[in-house]
Amino acid sequence: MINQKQNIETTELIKQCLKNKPWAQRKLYDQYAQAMFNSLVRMSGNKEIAKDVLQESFIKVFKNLGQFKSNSTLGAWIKKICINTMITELGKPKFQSLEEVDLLDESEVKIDFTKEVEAIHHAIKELPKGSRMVLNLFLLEGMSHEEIAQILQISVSTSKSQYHRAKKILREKLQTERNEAG
Amino acid sequence: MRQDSFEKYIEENRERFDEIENFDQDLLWEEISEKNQTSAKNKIWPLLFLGFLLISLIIFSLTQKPKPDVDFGPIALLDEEAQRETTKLYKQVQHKEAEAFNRKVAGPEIDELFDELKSMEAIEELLKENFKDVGTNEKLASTLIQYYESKSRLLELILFEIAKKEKNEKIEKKIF
Repeated sequence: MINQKQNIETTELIKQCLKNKPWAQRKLYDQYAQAMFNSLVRMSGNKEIAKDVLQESFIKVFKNLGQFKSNSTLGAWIKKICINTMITELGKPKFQSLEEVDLLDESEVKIDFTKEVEAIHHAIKELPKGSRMVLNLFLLEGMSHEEIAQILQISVSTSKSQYHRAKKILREKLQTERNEAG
Repeated sequence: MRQDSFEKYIEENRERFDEIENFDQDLLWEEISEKNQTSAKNKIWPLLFLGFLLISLIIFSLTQKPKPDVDFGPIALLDEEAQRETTKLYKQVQHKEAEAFNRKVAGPEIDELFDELKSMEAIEELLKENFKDVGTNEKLASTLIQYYESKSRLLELILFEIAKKEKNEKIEKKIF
């Protein structure tokens, strides 16, 4: 019932946006800007780049809103535009060597993650560009390795290995920070 | 794929990851809004141009004189009244010609007149060729009018002969 009401509200909002009503465009922006910005900061590791990409993405959103089809949610559609714009902005990622990464090492570093969201967010920003993009797309945007491989023009195995690498670096980083604080 | 505790934690707290970084939303909106309006204005220009083009075409077509029904050029050189007269003459000739062919009956005099009509049409074709080669001038326009007047007279003669023959046939039927 709530979903149905939300769908009607979103459909009406899109209609008004297509009529170039500034209040509707602002409402749509307010609804999604914050989440998109955080996602873009994590992907780029830089707030200024994230702001530029967010601006460009919303201009694309308003320009192409007529092409939005309800087989995905509006949020997912906007996110896709943001991610594609960011990938164009950052260019094809160059991946660092995986020599030092033990891909079979899935051992748990026991971390109490409570109140760790901010620490993880900032640690992600510090990751090398390529593995940072893969980790964000897989872990936080819910894309499959196949989709990531396609969007970044890399192989599926590279996507998987870079994801494991990013996760390992993150674990170590968070552990170090915790030890230093502790 | 089996989730480890790290992945599980992120999934459970996914929404909180979208609330960490803040930025001046109003300022960015102003920039988006400005660029968005510029883009919308840019979209309007081609539409305005098309509208202007359409209005120009309508005005142009309204200010043009209607084309005379005569299908070749020199008539355009005549003044408006002469154009009307010539068009009227041309229509009369067409009408008479259609009537003559519809009512055509066999008979040596009538056949002879139809032959003459055929020769006149050859002259018409020749005149048209001349218009193409020489271009249009008032002398040719005047020749064209004279031609239609002659054709009209010949057609009247044909119709007269047809009427005469029809009358004779009726009388003959009554007698025999």
